[in-house]
Amino acid sequence: MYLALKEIRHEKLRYGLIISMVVLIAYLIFILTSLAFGLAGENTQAINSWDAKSIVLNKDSNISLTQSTITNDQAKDAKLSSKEAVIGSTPVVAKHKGKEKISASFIGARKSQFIIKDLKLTSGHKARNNHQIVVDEKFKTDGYKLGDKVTLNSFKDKYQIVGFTKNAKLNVAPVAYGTMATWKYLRGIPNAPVSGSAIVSKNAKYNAHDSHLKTYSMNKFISKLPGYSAENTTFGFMIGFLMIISLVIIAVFLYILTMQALPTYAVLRAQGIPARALVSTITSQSLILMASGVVIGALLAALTGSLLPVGVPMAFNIPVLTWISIGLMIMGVIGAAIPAQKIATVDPVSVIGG
Amino acid sequence: MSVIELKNINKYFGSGISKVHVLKDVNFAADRGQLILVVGPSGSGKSTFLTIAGGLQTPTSGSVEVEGQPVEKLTKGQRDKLRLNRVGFVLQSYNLVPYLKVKEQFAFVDKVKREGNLSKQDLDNLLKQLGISQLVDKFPGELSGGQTQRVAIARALYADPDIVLVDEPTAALDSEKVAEVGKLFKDLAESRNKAVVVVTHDLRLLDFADKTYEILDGKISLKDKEHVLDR
Repeated sequence: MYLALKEIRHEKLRYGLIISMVVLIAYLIFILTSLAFGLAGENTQAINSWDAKSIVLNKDSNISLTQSTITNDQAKDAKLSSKEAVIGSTPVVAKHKGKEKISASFIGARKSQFIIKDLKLTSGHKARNNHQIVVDEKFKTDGYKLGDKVTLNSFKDKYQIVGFTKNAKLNVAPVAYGTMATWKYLRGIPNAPVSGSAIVSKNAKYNAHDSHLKTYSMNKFISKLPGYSAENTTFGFMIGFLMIISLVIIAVFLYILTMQALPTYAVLRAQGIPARALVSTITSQSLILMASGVVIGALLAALTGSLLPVGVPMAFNIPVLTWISIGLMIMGVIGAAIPAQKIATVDPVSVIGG
Repeated sequence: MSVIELKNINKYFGSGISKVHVLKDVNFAADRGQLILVVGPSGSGKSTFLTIAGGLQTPTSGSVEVEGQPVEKLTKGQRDKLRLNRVGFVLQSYNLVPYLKVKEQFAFVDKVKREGNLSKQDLDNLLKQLGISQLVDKFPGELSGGQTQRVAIARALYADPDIVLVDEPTAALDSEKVAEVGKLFKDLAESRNKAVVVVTHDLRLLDFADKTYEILDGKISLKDKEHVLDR
């Protein structure tokens, strides 16, 4: 550690450049990870808030909530307990004179079931009739306020915003919670014998006892949300490649620096300095470089996050970012392995000749 | 007992028809308080002699003993310890870490060898004796060649070794400087009771030696000054 710190302090420019490379990589990894989590969150926030473990959909719906319908008879046979809730889902466009249109997901649910019962509001109250809705705070960010009356899709009916809830997004669209009757009306099937789009359950092994319905785990359902898996896989690849790039950069830089300093290491070995002490020097150096880069990168990412507009979906998942930081440190140690091996096997005779 | 003794040392390099017999039945002994020169032309085996005496290489046959302890029986780690504790090297390339100030060169030794180094008082005295007290806050790159060599000598003596092995200390120096260096090593050997072994091809150092060995074609022999000069 002593030599590592002294060399870094003496060669400020050289090590400063290496740290700046690590900073850029760490920064990019943190931003991409936060964006990945932000986007993933916007796909699943509403689902996560329900705390449901499984979902029952029509077998032929291709695991798509909006394509699924559950009939009244099927819902009746499903023997719903307090752990189950029927929901209806349909995409809507909310409009209010003078304000920007918002594409949203309308979720119809029964007020006696847990989706509405457990709904946490940041202001206002829950829908009490078919012309009231509770909406995600994205509406508030876009200038909507309690009492505003909006139209949904091309219908002339007006729906009053009576409550705001946070973290209620489904497939990146903010959610508007309303009654089942409103959902049926918006779907254009007010009198059809349809109960909803799906049954969500807090029981992972819930069975609806109908051959036309199928129970899926919530994770399976989420993975089938349009674009969700492709998006996460893309981010995963980018983050993985950046980790590998960080490994290569630290390994190449340390290797070059070690090769330049090999005569000095050989002299130190001739003087009887244990190889272990010198190997710990290069490993410490690598860890110091990575730690400095990660800390500065994290600070810059946090600063960026605070400056970005609210609409940019970034979520700083501290446990995940901590694991990524640890991963980068491990990359540093691996990157120091080849130079360390060079130092451990340097022949002290080489500085004398003989 | 001699502080270091080489007995019947042979060293071969290579194999088959490219096998070279570099050291041939070398016998050598050095005592405390003496400056011993090992002189010989380039390619005579001086460097191999130095690396074997310092425990950096093992001989093909024969034995190196430091204070009666056979070096070849030591493990690699034990040989490291031997060099750290009992053998000081002053190499041609000097032995300084370029990014450590002069005072930090000694502090680094303290980090890896916590006991048996010179006290602060002893170090101050050594730096005064070498005339480099004022250089403690300088980096090696800020020193002249002569100053660097003196700092390297101080660094080698800081661990308080029994033996100091010196490799070609006067390469490219004029006669006045050679005399200075020769006197310095003789003073250090006497005042600090060390066995100082200088390997060199520079015969101008002969005046300062207590004993002179000559290596020719791998064979070593104890010679007097006149004999070496006559050759």
